[in-house]
Amino acid sequence: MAETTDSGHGLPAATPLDLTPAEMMAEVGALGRKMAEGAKLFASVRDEDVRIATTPKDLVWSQDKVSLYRYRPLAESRGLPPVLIVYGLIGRYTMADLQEDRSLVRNLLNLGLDLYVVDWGNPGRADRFVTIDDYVDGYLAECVAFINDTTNREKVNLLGICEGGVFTTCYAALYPETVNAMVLTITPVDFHADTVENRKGHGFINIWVRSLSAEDIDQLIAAQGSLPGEFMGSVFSMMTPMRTMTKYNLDLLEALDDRKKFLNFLRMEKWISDRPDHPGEAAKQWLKDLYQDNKLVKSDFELGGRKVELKNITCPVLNVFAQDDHIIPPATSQALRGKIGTEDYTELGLPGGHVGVFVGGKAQKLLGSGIADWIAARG
Amino acid sequence: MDQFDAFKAMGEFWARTGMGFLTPPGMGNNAAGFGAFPPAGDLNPFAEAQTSLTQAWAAATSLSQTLAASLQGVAATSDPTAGAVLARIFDPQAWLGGTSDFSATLNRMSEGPQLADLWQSEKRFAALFTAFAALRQAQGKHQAVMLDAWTRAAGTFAREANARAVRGETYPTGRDMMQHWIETANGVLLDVQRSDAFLASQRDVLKAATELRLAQQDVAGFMSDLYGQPSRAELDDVHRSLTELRREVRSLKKDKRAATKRAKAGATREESHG
Repeated sequence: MAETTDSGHGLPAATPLDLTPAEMMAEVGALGRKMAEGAKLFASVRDEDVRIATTPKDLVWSQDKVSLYRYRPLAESRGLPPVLIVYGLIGRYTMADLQEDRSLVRNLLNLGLDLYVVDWGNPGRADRFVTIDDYVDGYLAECVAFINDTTNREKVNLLGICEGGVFTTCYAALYPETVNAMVLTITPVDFHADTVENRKGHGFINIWVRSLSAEDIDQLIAAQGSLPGEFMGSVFSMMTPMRTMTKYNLDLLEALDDRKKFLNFLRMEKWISDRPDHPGEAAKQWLKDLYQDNKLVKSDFELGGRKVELKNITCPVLNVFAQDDHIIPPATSQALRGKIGTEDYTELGLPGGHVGVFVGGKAQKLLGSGIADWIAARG
Repeated sequence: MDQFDAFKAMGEFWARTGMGFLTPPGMGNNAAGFGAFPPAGDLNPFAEAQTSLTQAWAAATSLSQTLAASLQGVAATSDPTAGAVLARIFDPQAWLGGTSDFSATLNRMSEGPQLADLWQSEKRFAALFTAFAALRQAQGKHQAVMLDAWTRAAGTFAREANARAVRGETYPTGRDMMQHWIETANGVLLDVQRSDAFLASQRDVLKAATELRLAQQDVAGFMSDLYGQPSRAELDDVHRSLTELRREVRSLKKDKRAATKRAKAGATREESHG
């Protein structure tokens, strides 16, 4: 590239963008071609091309808005206690089965596990007074009882994801006699441990919730009746500010010349847009008792009139965290070490971020085999 | 970097970039293929416009400072009320909020003494408008925090781009330059999000939005009551009862299941002993 001569305006000779008009036109032309191809691709894609959570399953139990599904086997059973997947109320379990080649569910089924998943449904304003007590001591306990009755067993394996991991942690502390082993993935336990590493851009939700007063949260729930999914979506967007701004232009443009990449992008969008509202009273417990007052790690959290004592967790625990998780910083998960009543505690740090653990090419394969092998050793 | 410096750096950046793009590099002004582009000499008006812009910013800053200084003098010696009013007119914060007088009037209406049957709906609407004005004001303050962040990001980016140019390092493509901007802006925004100013202004927006929603519900509740329709509060009562009843049913089912299990276990024991 040639040098620019001093134009007599007192500016140095060099310029920040070193392009000739011809090069600039070529770049603009390439962009135009990409956009034209992208428009064609957009027009050719139908909703069925971006279906998610397609692994076959059957509804086996339901109560109120909660449904329990059992996945159909994809391989010969290893005869291990069934595994119940428990996602949280922020987002939906479909993340674990995003698409055929990026599916924790399929990976586990292919490894011979008997899998169940609980879907909390779409809580509405009418569910304002539903609490975490109802989810853990009520619905989750009912699901476990149903599975144990159906399979004629005394214990299940629990696989908690994010807030769902908090639910399974509480359940395992309240009903240790019914849990064979527990896998936690990207689960916060010490909600103030974001300060351990204090990484830039990590743990914003922790900081943000602590900046509110308890009254702010009460008022928000009084006004909305729930913690709206859309609202939480905007908080998540704030965590990656420029990524949010460039997502539907630059990032989308990058995916437009590759149909597979583009469909992956759309499937992820589909999952992100399916963000249920969090029932009001449960949201108050989540934000005030856990994020603000950090009661879980102190064994001070109460459900159904009982303290959730982490020491009461006596089953083996596999604690999986994402090494680059900006939503649940690793230290908030790793805080579980030494707090529970078992020596059989294993940590598995996987490459990638909060969602990448489930959908990233390398991490999701490691996750599936890591979980299956660990459970098999404790069958 | 303050706003003036940031805009000055941005001006310089765009002048450099524009010049670099439009000047036939190293090939002379008459080189084939570049004839359609204006020679560097034709960029004088562009550079002059940039200079005018920076001068305007300087003038505006100076004017603002002069006004503030003179107002302080006037207010102290003659009419303090007039001085205070003038100061508020020139306060940029008022430009962002701009509704405080309106709010004060509505506040007087909504918080005034209550009469049994008079002005019930008017008072509610006044409270609603007050909440709306408060939200706009809170949003304005939050936007000011974000504007400051943007200015810092833009200034940092321009300064770094200019420094690269001075060192002879250039962006090979427009996309690379864009990437540098994204990374710079992201860094600044992530810092801002952790700042007290950002968290406080965002909290104020959330509180104001919540207050507005509650004021809307109060109006809706009043109207529902007037026309014999169920209000939000009444529905909430029903939902609370429903949730409690479901809880009780679940608990009874659980007890029943446990009793059945105990009975089965008892029967098994008796059989084995018998």
